[in-house]
Amino acid sequence: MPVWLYEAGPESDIVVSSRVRLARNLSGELFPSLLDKKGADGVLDKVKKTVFSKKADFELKDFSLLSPIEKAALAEKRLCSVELAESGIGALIVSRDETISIMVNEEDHLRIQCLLPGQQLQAVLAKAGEMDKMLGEKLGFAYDDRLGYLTSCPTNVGTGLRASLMMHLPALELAGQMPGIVHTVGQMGQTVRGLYGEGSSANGCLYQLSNQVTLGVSEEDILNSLDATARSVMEKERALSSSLHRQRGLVLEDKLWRSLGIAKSARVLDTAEFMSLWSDIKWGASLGIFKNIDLAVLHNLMMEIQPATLQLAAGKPLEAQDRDAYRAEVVRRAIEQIINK
Amino acid sequence: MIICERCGKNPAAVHMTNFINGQKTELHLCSKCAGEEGGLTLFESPFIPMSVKDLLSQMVGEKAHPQARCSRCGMTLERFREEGRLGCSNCYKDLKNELMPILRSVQGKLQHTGAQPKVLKKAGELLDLKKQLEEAIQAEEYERAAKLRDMIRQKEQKEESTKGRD
Ligand SMILES: [Zn+2]
Ligand SMILES: [Zn+2]
Repeated sequence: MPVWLYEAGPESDIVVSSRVRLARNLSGELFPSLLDKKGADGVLDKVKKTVFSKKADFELKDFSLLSPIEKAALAEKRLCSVELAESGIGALIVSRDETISIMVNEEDHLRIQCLLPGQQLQAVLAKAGEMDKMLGEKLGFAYDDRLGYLTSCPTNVGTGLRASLMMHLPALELAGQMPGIVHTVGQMGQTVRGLYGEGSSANGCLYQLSNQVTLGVSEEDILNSLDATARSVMEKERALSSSLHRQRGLVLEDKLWRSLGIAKSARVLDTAEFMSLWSDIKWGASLGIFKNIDLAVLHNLMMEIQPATLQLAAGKPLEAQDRDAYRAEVVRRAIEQIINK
Repeated sequence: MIICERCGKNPAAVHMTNFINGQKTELHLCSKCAGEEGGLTLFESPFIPMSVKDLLSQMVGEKAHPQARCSRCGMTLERFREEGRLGCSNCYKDLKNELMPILRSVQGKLQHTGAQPKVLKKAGELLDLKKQLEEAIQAEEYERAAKLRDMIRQKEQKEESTKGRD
């Protein structure tokens, strides 16, 4: 069961989730872009043997046995990329609690990922690092004293580490401050980007903050500077949010209450509309306008209403219109559960 | 009309700005590729290679040889710039002159300071000790040399015994 379902994590008023990804390649093997099916299977076999000989709580997702909807749902849960599921040579190994996933034969032989709710960068790195150590000792990774871990793309070379935080920044977005933040953060060797694009209400005011540079900095420094940036962004968001609430309280509360009202009663909801409602409900919860909102349920809802996950829950394929109706139903149920707690 | 940079088919509907080391790159995607239709894809990887490819096409090192090719996998600079992927770890050796300018501008520093794989670190330590032994013998510091020799022997025996367990 995903941890999302029962825990929202530290700093969850703003930080939805923390993630790290370690890019690794087996030494002596061609990188996946040049591997044929047989070569790729050879890599997968080695990885499978190593993981399953040590870990009982992991399972293999064989893409050749999954339906397109099942594959898309795995990508929606961010356990793998769409590319991996469609590549024909890729495979996925996932822990039962879905916090750790290993993409095999994607851009690199291994992409070890860990995802946890809230701000838990240290914890995600520790978990991914443990898996990295176990696999590295058995398999032997391509490594160079100067360039560190060798990856298929030079943008990942060195630590092979990409760490990121998913942040909800409605006040900064509303005040038009995001372009400035994107610019400043860019000068720190980090990047902020809208998870669903920028500058439209359909993005849910969700931004992903991640490190860009992977060589010449230690893992610890990458996390520390990411954490420092995140803390200063959170400080700005909280300050701006409460000042907006102080100055334009009635207007803001009216906007947020209306969104909760629509979520409670709508019969048809597309993803874009849902995301803007979701953002308002989350904002209202952070400001304390809505009491007792279970953030874990709210965060999980964002995954549940994605097209493929929705169809999986419905147990049948749904056309866009039927999806929007079913989505509205799922949202109504979740909001009731949240409010009646 | 701007065409989607990912599929090259549909008109771009989502425009994203990205900064890498202060350098601005823009990405234009159709709503499908941006994840509106086939499921909102939260995943980061589809976006990164694109901006990298844009960057790569701008960068050619002065020492780059257009004919350079990896002796192991046959990767060329041309192909790498097109696909944004290297073919094997040996590419970093054989295409070094071509890749260094790219690494310098993408990464800044060129010396890894992060974690090392445990196995290789052990091998590195051994090499280091052997080098120290050589130096000690040359400097005629026989006492130190004897100590170093013992340490090396110990380490090599340890490695043999762990190998045996596999
Ligand atoms: Zn497209
Ligand atoms: Zn090569």
